[in-house]
Parts: sequence; structure tokens; C-alpha cells
Amino acid sequence: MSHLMGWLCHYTPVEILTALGYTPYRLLGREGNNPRATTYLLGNLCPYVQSCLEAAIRQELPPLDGVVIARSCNAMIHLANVWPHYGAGGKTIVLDVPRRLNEDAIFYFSQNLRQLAVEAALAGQQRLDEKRLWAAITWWEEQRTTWRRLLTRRAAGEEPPAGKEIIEGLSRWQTSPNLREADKLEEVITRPAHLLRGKAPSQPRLLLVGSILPWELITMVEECGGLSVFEDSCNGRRLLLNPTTTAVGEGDPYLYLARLYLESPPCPRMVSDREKRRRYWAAIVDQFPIQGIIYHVMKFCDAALYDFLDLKVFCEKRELPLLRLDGDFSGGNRGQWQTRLEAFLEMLEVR
Amino acid sequence: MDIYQLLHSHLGNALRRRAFKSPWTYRILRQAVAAQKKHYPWQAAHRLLLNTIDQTAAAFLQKGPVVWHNVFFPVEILYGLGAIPFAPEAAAVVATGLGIGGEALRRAESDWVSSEACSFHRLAHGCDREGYFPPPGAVVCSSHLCDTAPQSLATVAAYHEVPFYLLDVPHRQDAAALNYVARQLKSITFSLVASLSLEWEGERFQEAIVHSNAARERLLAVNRLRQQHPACIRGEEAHSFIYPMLAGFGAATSVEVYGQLAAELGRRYREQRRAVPEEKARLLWLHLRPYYPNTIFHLLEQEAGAVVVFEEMSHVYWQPLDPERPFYSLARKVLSHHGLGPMSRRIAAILSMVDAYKAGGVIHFAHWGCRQSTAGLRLLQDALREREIPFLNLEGDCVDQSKYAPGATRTRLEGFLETLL
Repeated sequence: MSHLMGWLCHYTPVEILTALGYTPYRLLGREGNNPRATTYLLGNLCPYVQSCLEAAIRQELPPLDGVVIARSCNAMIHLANVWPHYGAGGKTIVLDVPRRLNEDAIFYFSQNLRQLAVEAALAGQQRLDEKRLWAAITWWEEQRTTWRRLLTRRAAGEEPPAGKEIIEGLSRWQTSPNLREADKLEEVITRPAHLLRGKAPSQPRLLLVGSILPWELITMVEECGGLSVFEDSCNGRRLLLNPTTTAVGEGDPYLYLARLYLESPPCPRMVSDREKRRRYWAAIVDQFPIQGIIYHVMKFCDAALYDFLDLKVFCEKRELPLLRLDGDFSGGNRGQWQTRLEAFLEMLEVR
Repeated sequence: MDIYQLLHSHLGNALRRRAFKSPWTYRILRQAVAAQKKHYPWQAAHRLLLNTIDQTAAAFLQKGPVVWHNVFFPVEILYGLGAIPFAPEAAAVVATGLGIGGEALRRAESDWVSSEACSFHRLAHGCDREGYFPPPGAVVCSSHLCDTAPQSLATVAAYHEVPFYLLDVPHRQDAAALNYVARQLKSITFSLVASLSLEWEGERFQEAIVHSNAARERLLAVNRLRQQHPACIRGEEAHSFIYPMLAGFGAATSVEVYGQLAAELGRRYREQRRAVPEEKARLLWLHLRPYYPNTIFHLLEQEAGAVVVFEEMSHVYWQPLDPERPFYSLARKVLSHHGLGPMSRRIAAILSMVDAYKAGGVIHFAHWGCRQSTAGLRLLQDALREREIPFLNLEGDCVDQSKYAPGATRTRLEGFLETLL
């Protein structure tokens, strides 16, 4: 039976968990309100975090050996506080993730990752062998490459797979208890590729941005006639990282991983990296001919609240239409979203 | 008289943005405040106000490079560089006292700053955009305790097109974390020297460290006196002295203020001048308080005799700094904050305060938007319940007066007092 290790933030290097013999299992929350979680974490905290805690309290998660919580934002910090008391059983391992990108931060993060490998080791397990870690790094990189290739097909607009299929596929990829079985994995990744739409329709091409994008929103965007061609979120493209220039298999694997994760497209939490984020948006808009942007602001996500302001300035400079939709990750707001989406898409079609 | 009421009485009616940039404003204000010295129940408060006026004048009149910082950044660095520190969160409190909070919050809203964000930062945004704050030459911010401050201050830096330096503070307190923070502090210091064309003076830098230690010693003396029974200073009065804690360490003026406060407190204890005629209960106050006119402290202290004997924000959590190793010891100070890391650290610190100040009850003011302070309260509540210490989580907003409901607040306070008295 595989050992499942839960994780939440996309700055969690799953390679280490794989190398230790775990199957990394992403906690993606649940649909509905979180009445039990709000008794332990106050109401005005990130709904995604609340939702993950609620799922644990209601015992809706598969049996986990533990969970790795990256202290990437205040909500995660508080989740790390309450999880050992009220969450699912097993280990609670916390990981510090720097909020800046430079050689010092990369080195510091590499030290934390080394510590993570020690803390997450199974009972009686020897120190993690670097060869095993490199093998896990290679394995994950191969999969990400396949995903990236698939997602890049939306750039040219010839055969774009639907955003809904992509997000569904990515969700399965992050939560499959049998991820290490190669044939199952192949099926998960290639399924969206078989569901191509054919010739690109003349629907408005959209960039969807948010800390974590609700599946319902992407579905609704496409049902309303939009075409989601890029999902800038931690359950979308950011999850796939960017390949580093460092060769796999050379040097310190922890340093490699630290660089891989910190140098990848930044989450809004990387506040000193805003210029990089603006360049990232500019590249997406150019490469994936974007006609409009939808920002899903997760309630009480401080990083997203301010990231939106930055994107607004960016859109004004590029004269790109921008729609802000607020959500609480519960699957609600559908009526309001739909009305606003329809108006937004209508406006794009007129342009 | 409350500092903010006084400022309002001097500035409120004739408040104009341009008045902030006129040396006459500060001259007149200073003279007016100086003339009222004898009306101040605490001379330390009078001195603090004069110092604040001087520092505000220096910032608005651009007598040197103004560096914006958040309240958790170690400002010893800024004093050591001869820069003028400006804390927008603290200035938001003054703006509230001056009655311009509503206008500033409306401006922030019109700029799409979400009402879910901390109102200190929304208010600071509005004040900045409306021209009430001095423009920064650079912005520094630490990442610990608050997620909003780095985001908000990075936005300020981008708006004013000035450099932004983030101090990334990890949650571990081990040697690797210490080195990581110390290296950043050194790098930020010399980046400021370069970007603001400052002259590096090692002696001045050391002096700031020495001042910080001296202020710490005097604050410890104040805190020791406040542990005595009965209390000789009301919590409402003591709250006025939080400002140097948030923005004054490293300045000679903070040494004076805390020194004077310690002397006055000592005298009052000797003379047995009580804070309230009959002390019926002793309370510990967590987080900040509302800065607009309200009746919370009046009800607690003057009506019910429940004195707030200590506030979490005045807790000295760090060891003395080493002038020979300034960056390393400042890093240690930053990492020592009891709010950093697992919640168990904050709980342990609060329980130690309960014991030291013999508090019979604890009130936490849950400022809307401050997820750092409020989200982990359940664990604190459990810990206090285990010790049978009554706890009240009083929800509200420190600077947004529209969120204040006097009736509901009174009901909750009275209910809490019933469990205490």
C-alpha cells in the first residue's frame, strides 16, 4: 500500500516526498461551506485553507501518513498551528519558503529542503540517498514537460484543449493515489490531449488569474462562450514550474530543487519579485494572444488582493479588458459570476 | 488629554494637505503643545508628542531621505543611517485621530483596494494618494507577522518609483535562519546607503544600537513597575507609549521618553497614586486598540475598575543588542518575536505576561483584516481556559470608525466583566 503524504502549497518540492517513498497527495479542498473549520480558524481567513481543514475534520481525505505545510502565507502558518490538534492524523511537517529570489534565498531554501527530507523520512528509514532524489527529480520533470507541451498547444490556437479538461487533468495528476503507476499517469496526462476541440473557435481568448482557481469558474467561463487559454494559478500553470538551466544529476539536488521552485513563475506572495511577475504576464499575453483577463480574487487572500492592483495597472497600460470576480472557494457565487461573465464576454465580442 | 485629541484640536479644523508641508504648521503646533506642558498628566506623553511632531516635521519638510517602513522592521538601521523613518501604519493612527480616516478609506476603495484588506494599510494607501504623507525615498519592509504590509508597501514603492527592500524573515529560529536574516539586514543597509546617497558612519550606526539598548532597559523598568499592585497607570494612558516600540528604537528620543515614564511611574508608586480609585480587576490587552473616539477603556477602567495593566505590544521579547555585531543581533531580535513561528510561542509569551502582571482576564481586540493576530485565537482560548482565565475576543477595527458599534461593544464588555467581578 502506498504511503500518501499530503501537501498544499505549490512551493512544496514533491520530488523529496517521492524519493522518500511517499505518494504526494495535493489537498485541493472541498465544495461547500466550512462550518467546522471556522470554529478553529477564524472566518476571515483563506477559504482554501479552511476548506482543506474542513475536509480533514470530516474525514473526507484518504488516509495520510502526514502533511507538509509550507509556511508560505499567514493562512498556511495558521493551518500549520491547528492541523496537529484538529486536522488529520500523522506527521505535520512545516516548511519555510523564502519570499525573495536571490542566491542567498536559494541557499537558505536548500537547507530547509534538506531538513524536510530528514523530518519526512519514514520510520527507520536511512538518510535519503541523493541518487534516489535525482531519479525522482527526473521523473517529475518528465511529467511536467509533457504537461507544458500540452499547454503550449494553446498558444498557437490551432488545437486548444479546453481549460476545464486541463484543470480536471491537473487535479487528477495531483491527487492520484496511484501516481507512480506509469500507465495510469500516462492516461491522466494524455486524456486532455485527446479531447481537443479541433480548429480554434473564434471565442474570446482569456487569461485566468488567481491564487487557486476554482474548477467551477473555468467551467462557467467556457460554458458562457469564453476560451480559457492560460490559467495562472497554483493549481494551473504555476504548478508546472519552469525547467532550470542547471543540469539534472549534477551537484547538490537540494540546491537544484531550491532553484527550480524559487525561479519558477512567482506566486503573488513573492512580493519582491513583482517585476518578474509583470514580465510573466506580458509574455503570456503576447504568446497566447490574450484578449481579456479574469482575476479570481480569493476572499481574504492578502497576496491576491494586492496582486490584482498590480494586474490592473498592467492591463491599463496594455489596454486589456479585466474582470475581477471574488470567490470563497465554496462553489457559490455562481449567479453573480455568470451575469458578470456574460457581460464581460459580450463586451469582448463587440471589441 | 489624549495625544490624538490634542493633535486634532490643533490641526483638525484648518487641516489642509499643504499645511503638512509648511514649516509654520510645525512651529505653531510645537509652541502650542509646549505651552500646555502642565496640562499633561504624564510628562513622558508630552515629550513623546513633541518628539513625534519633530520627526513628522523632518519627514514632511524632507530634511533628509525619508524611508517608509513597516512597524516590525528593525528601525535601528534607519536611525543608524541618519535617514528619517516613516511608518505608514503608525501614521494611519494619527490620520484617524485627525479625522481624515473616512476620506482616506474612500480613496482606497475607489482605487480598488479591497475592504477585506487591513484597514491600517487601506487608510495609509488613501492618505498617500491624497497627498497627506511625505513621499518616500525608499521603502523597507519585513515579511514577518503580517502579509499585508509587504504587499501594501511594495505597491507604495512602485507608485513612487523608489527602491523596495524586503526583509524575508523565516519562521525557524536556528543558525541558518539567523545568518539568512543577518545577511539581508546588512545588504539592505548598504543598498540604502547606495540608493539614497547616504554617508556610512559606523559610529552613528553603533550609537543607534546603544540607544536601542538603553530604551529597552528603560522600557523594562517601566514594565517592572507596571507589575506592581495596584496599577498606577491606566491602560488607555499606557497605550500612547506603544509608538516608540513600533518606530522609535534606535532614537535617542525614545530613551528619554521611556526614562521619563519610568521616573514618573516610580514616583506615583511611591506616592501610592492609583490609576483608578478602586482596582477591582487586572486585565491583559492583546493586539492594538481602536484609535477613534470610543468608550471601551472608560467603561473598563473608570466605570468598572478593571484596569488594563499591560498590553502585548509593550512586551520586550528580545535580548540586548551587541554593538559589535549589529546585524547579527538585530536578526536575533527580529527572530525573537513571540508572534513568529508556531502559535505555541505566542501562547507561552501571553501566559508569562498573565503571570507577571497578575492579570485576571485577557481581552484580545480582533482588528478586522489582521489575520496574523486573530486566526490562531482558538488555541490561545483553549490554553487560557485550561488556566481558568476569562478571555474576551472583542471584534472591531482599530482605525475604521464605521465598524464601531458602541451598543454591541458595551454589551460584550459588560458580559465579560460579569465573569470577572
